[in-house]
Amino acid sequence: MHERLKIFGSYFKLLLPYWDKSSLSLLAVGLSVIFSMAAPLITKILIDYAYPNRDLYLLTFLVLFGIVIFLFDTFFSGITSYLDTFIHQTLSIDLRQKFFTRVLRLPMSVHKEKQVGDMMVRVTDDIDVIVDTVAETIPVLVKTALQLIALFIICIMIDWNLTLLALLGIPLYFIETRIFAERFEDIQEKSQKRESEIYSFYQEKMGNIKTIKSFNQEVYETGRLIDKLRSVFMLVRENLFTGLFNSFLDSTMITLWTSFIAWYAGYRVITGHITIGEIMAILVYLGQIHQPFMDFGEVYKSLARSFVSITRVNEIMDVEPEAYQDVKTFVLYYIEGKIKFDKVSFHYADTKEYILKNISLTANPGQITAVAGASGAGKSTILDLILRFLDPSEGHIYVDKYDLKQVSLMTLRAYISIVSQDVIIFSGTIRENLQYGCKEINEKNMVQAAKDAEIHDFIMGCANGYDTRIGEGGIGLSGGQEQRLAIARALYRDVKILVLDEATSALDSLVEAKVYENLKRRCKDKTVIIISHRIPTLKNADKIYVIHKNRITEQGTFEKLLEKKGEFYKFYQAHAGEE
Amino acid sequence: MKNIFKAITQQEMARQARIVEIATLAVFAILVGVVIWLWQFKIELTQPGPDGGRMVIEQINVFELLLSKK
Repeated sequence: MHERLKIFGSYFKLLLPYWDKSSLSLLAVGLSVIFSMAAPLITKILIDYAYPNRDLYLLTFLVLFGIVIFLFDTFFSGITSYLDTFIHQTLSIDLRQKFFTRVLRLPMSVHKEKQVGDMMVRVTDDIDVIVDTVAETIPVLVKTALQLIALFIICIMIDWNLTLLALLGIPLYFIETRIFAERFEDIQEKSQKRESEIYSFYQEKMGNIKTIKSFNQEVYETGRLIDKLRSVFMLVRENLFTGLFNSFLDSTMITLWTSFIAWYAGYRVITGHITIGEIMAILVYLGQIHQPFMDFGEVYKSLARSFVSITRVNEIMDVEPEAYQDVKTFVLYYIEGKIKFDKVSFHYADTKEYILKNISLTANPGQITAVAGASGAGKSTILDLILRFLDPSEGHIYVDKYDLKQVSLMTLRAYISIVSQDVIIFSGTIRENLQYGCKEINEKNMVQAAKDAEIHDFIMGCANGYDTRIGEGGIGLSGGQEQRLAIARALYRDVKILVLDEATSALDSLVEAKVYENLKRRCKDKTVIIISHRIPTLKNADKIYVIHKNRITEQGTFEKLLEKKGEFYKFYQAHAGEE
Repeated sequence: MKNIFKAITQQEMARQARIVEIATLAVFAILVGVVIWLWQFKIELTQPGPDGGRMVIEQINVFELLLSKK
């Protein structure tokens, strides 16, 4: 309960940046509530006084008074709608931006744990539920509370006897609402989980459509989707029936309750305790009580649903982000680019099985250093460690003489360009892709980078050259073209350290040789690290470290390693066909 | 009126909201003025007199009248 109250309080904190608009909206809501109370009172005066006394002056005055109230009511209701919509829109943008920023700054270990679909649901559905609650449900809650207070004050002023009797029904209604809210919360939690699963399912299948087609699994995958959709449908049905039963109980209770009050009010008129005008007013007010109570029930359900969503969002927001500009770290103003692994071991936190064990290697500027090994040997983890997507479980990694853990992440990554084995090309023009992450634009350097990556001729052959659209809505690229574009993008950043993780696997040997020839010419003062299991790629390296069973077993030049007739020689023989 | 509406809807969102806020405060000020005036304005409650004319029985403001138990 205490936790819930804390969450409820946090909703008001979200409204703090909009305190001026929220206050005005609250004022407008309060005035609307007061105005809505006037009509039955006017009716009461007309019935009890103006009509019996044939007071035309009073009748005219009250009608004009009613018109003025109606005009003010319309204005302030409109203002409430406008301000609430404004807050809704800006809060939605604000929260989405904050959440997205946090997601981008989460450590890679969290991204590896969470499925993309699950994250998508948190970014979209869960944020929507929170925004709806803060920007819509809370104003409704305030309005409903004000309406109920105003109604009871006026009713007490008219006849406190009758009002106190009416109040007796409230606890029963609250108990019923609470029971159903718990049920709705449970359904919401399950729904969000299953929606996340479906998003992840779509994401996985869309990304692997070739595999599905090649295995003729279209029908099977559709069947799996139907099963998942059916489980969501069952929850929707459960939600619907629970909602219908809840509404039926609400309506029945309120109808029985107000009918009893109406009977008692009539009894009070017949026994001469109140006038006909007063009973008319009270009956209208009792009719009005119905709506706030129904609204209150909806508010309660909506809040219950939002508690699930905010818990899911906070699971992400509460994760410690990567320390981009941690005050304890220092900024690298200049580096030579030397990378040194000193007895580095790594295993994931939830397992003791080492991915890398006792790795020591050095990559010097002006050299191409390769890390070779079979698939699954832990080569790509080296890339993750250099970029600090992961931190070593044991040992240290240095850039020049600085321990990576002491260096500001932002500046460290500014000195490194990577081309990973999963090349990501963004939808947009070729130019936008090449300039991704660059603050200063230099057309000449961009073209040179494209030439060095052996992609310039292809680009110039496209209808719009560098302004040709690629990705969604644009032309499709082959695997080799994507890799060359990614290499050009990395070269254009012109940084001190370049890491190529199986970056030329889709290029034919001739093009690959040309790319490396260009690289050697271009990167005379830069550190180039290549991670590969391919012999044609490894031939370009000045020094090779061989990883076998998560450890470095050999190191040396290509030729010397072959002469040793050790692990690398076996590796060479196994992969010689690739040449 | 059409021009005013058009001018407001074409404003940038934050500026538009500011205009709406100022308009709300202005109307609220008018409302306060109306309430003060109504508070001071006494309505004459009358009933048919014995001579066929109207007889003033009370002078009361509209708020007192609405909340009156009489």
